[in-house]
Amino acid sequence: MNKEMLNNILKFSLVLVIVGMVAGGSLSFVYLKTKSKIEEQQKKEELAAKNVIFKDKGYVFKKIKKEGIEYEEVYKNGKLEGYLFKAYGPGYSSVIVTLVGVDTNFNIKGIVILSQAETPGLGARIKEVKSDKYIFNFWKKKSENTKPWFEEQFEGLNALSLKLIKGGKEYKDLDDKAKEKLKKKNEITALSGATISSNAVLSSIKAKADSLYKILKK
Amino acid sequence: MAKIKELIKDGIWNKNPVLVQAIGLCPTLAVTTSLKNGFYMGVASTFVLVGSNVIISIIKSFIPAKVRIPVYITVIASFVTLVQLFVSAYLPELNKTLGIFIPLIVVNCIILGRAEAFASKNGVFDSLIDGVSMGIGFTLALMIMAGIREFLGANKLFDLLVIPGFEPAAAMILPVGGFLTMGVLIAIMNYINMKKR
Repeated sequence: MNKEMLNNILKFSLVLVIVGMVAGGSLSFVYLKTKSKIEEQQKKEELAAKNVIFKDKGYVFKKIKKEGIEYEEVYKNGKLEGYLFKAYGPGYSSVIVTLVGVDTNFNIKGIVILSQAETPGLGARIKEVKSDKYIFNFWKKKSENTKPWFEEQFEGLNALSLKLIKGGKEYKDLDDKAKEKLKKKNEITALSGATISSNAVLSSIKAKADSLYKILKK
Repeated sequence: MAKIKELIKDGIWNKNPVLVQAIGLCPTLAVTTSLKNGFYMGVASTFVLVGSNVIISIIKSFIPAKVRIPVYITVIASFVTLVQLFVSAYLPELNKTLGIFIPLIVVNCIILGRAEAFASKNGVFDSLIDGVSMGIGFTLALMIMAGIREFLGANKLFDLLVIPGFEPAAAMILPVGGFLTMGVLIAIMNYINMKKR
């Protein structure tokens, strides 16, 4: 090995080390600075989500950790009304975190997807809101429904025996009769073109509900 | 001044990242299902593109040519992560709409493409202008594609319904529609260029 080659190798490594150190250093600095702020924002979002699931006032939440599973008991007027838990599902390009509220029979009160980074236009539509507004009168009508339709279809279903159907029409395009039918069969319609994301939400809820159910039964 | 004009023309038409250079196609096909997505993706990419172009044109003289690619990737990935941290900490509203697009930008080859093809050979100011104009070109291409696909595939523009009773062809918002739209747009662009000559 001649001297020039050795010099080059040293020079290249030095440059890479310096760049890596500067990048890593500034990243960890900013991460530490923003960490508490980000957590604060997440807490705020979670609180808002709780209010969406348990709509009325007067609910009390009690954090519990049992056999490695974290959940919250929900009380109203001293009576146990249900449970609240987070489900983590590996989606197509992110872990989808869902907050789920159930009553004591594990019928779903509501779900809110807290965080996801699925493909925009496909999987990210799990947060899509159905809109009926037309382009020529959008300033007239205010949108009444701000809840994403994918989350909405979980309401009232049993968390322990959810089923996914794919290939058909999406829930938002169905009429009331067909929606009622789905509810009876405990079925959820998948997003077209995003079965993995849809299934991630559904099976993570099912799995978490299942293990919670088993622990509570003991 | 003439150079700035030239750079802007390059970004928007002559060297349009999507329709001429055909780079950044992965996010293009994924995101152009609605105008809103296309717009946000364009804005987020433009911001990162300008930032990474400026940083790379500043440090270019310290970087040996043989290790430039890993250095660029490190710079771009760190810059994107910094932006993401700041946005999620201080701008929660923006984070809700833009948040999901930011991680996609790291792997957007427009950023690396411009770093390699332009910022590593030109000054800071020119690189900044190049970042802005390529960003605008990218955003425009995304929005035109998204407009066509959202209208034909969902009968909507910016999430608002357009024609009552028009039955949209859902294939247009699936990948098929993306390829079709892009092919047609490139053909139209080439036709206009041929006529000009």
